[in-house]
Amino acid sequence: MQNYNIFSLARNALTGHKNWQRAWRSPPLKPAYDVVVIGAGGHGLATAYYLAKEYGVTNVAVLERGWLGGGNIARNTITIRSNYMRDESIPFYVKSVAMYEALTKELNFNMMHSKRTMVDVVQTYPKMRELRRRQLTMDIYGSTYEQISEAELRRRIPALTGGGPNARLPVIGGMVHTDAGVNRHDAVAWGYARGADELGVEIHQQTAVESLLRGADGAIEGVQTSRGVVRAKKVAVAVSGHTTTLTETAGLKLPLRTMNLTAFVSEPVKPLVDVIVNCPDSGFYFSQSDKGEMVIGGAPDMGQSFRRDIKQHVFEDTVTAMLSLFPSFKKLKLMRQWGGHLDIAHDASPIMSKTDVEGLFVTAGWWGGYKAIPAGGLTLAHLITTGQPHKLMAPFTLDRFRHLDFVMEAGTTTAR
Amino acid sequence: MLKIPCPFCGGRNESEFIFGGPVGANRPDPNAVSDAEWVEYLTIVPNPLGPVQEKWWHARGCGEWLTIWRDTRTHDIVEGPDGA
Amino acid sequence: MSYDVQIKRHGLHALFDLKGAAADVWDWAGGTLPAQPERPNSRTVKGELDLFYIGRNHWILRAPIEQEEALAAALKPVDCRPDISIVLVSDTLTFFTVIGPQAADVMAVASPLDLHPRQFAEDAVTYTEIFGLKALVQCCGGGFEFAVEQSFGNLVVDYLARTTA
Repeated sequence: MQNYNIFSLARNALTGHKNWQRAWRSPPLKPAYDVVVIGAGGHGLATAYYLAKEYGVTNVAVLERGWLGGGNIARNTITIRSNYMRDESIPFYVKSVAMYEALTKELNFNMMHSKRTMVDVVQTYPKMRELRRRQLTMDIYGSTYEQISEAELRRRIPALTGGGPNARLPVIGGMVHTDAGVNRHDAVAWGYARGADELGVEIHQQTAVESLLRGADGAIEGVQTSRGVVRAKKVAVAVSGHTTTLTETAGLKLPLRTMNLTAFVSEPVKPLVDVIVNCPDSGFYFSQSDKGEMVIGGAPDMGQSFRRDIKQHVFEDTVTAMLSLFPSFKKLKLMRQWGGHLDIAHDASPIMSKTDVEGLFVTAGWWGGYKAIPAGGLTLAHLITTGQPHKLMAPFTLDRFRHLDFVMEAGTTTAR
Repeated sequence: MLKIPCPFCGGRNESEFIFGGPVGANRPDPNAVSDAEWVEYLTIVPNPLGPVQEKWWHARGCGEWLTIWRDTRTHDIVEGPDGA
Repeated sequence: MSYDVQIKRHGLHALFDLKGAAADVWDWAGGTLPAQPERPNSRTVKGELDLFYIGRNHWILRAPIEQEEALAAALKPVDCRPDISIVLVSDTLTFFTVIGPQAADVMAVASPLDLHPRQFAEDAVTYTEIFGLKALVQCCGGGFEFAVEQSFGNLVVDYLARTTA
């Protein structure tokens, strides 16, 4: 594989950038593989990469219905953080954030990682108490969370001019999570794809998996795709919102519901806010991209949805909340909006598990799964290879439902 | 934005309603079913690519609870509650 | 822009919340109440008494505040039969009137409900949203009248001021 560095950049500049190699191959589809990963999104590609890199499993096909990195990895707000609530969750996200920080070097691909801190704007005392409690739990696991005063909050975010003493919800202080950052989502997808491809993994785009195939003994046998049958003794489902659509073809029911979460961006403006701003009491969050756009997210739609668009009133509610704290944003023009469908588990925590179908693995329920991609890929690769959950993901198997031993997570987007 | 048919008020704006969750299976007698069946009742709801049955509460209206079938792909309300 | 309307916040009314099967409610209080409204979300009038049919088996009786004691004596909220419910709720709602040539324009900002006469008759009364709050809306001479929970009163004054500023 061609290395990306200053010399290769200079060399290719001299030849008019006409001699760059393709970042990954498009090999013919074989009839069988050791492992089939369904979904060339963040989790699928990372899983394939770590299967090859860490566990030496290279006869792997990643099957993608659309194009590589075109699903939720292109439809999120690129927030990477580890300020979760539960003992089970925090070590996993701490690991994932650390892996993200090392990813540029790991993959020889510039992730444009910007560890820029997330600041929570707190407007009610119950929320402040909850976040301070979170801080104490996070302290145990080496994540960072620190309370700051209202004055310090306004010093750090000069654009925060609303929420004064006469507001319905006055700003009372904030919490600072210095581990948080943003990076470039395309680079994550392309970097993992390129890395996996180099190690021998095949990525097949425009290859829709239509159903899962089970053998006479009930174990997984392969998948039916739009390009024919592909056989594999191990199949991993990493398709976000469509998880149940696929697993139902193998007669497997999962405690998942698919919902639509939306975001939108403004026109680019000069640097104005240099942290990720999260306003849990008002129900929105945003960060300014390197291009200068405000990337804004709000609450999920009510009810299940497979539509990838934004509802007018969700949009209006988010904008109204935002203008109450950032009145100067009233002049911003909004450019684009999008939605992504995610599945959420019964207890709002992710599911990474083998299933009742021998050889079938699922990674699902990633509500805000962008930050989980590196550690999610690593731990799923571990599960596929060893048959045992990685210790970071051991609390998140389907067994927890069997024993009604839920991990009720308050740190997900749903709880904003 | 949905226009939800309320049996008492007629079609009303979605913002007047609070989502009441999907309609799951009827509660079985816990003593008459296996543990696995009980867990399935507690945790699993239908998640179809198509019509799903769900409850809505006309909280900022007449207070009625109602049930509709809504298509998860289009948000079309394919079947309203009885009497609406 | 400013609107050609008069907005007024009113003092207390006597209000009774009535619930139960219509036959039982009228059996208990029929002598006092106006006629039973026929259509959902409509009102009937008897003298100074207004009766709002605002939900299944659910009505609100409104009268001038001076009549509160006399009505309470007639309806006997505390002693009423057990299968119906009558509750004195005079202090829970605050009423606003928005009157003038552009009253409908202001209401269109405040509420998602279609208040055009073709859709919202002269005798219509219903719970809907005003500035995202649950509110009881009806027509009154030359405009609209609505009520929100008393504690939201100041907030709605502010919303109306901003809308018409």
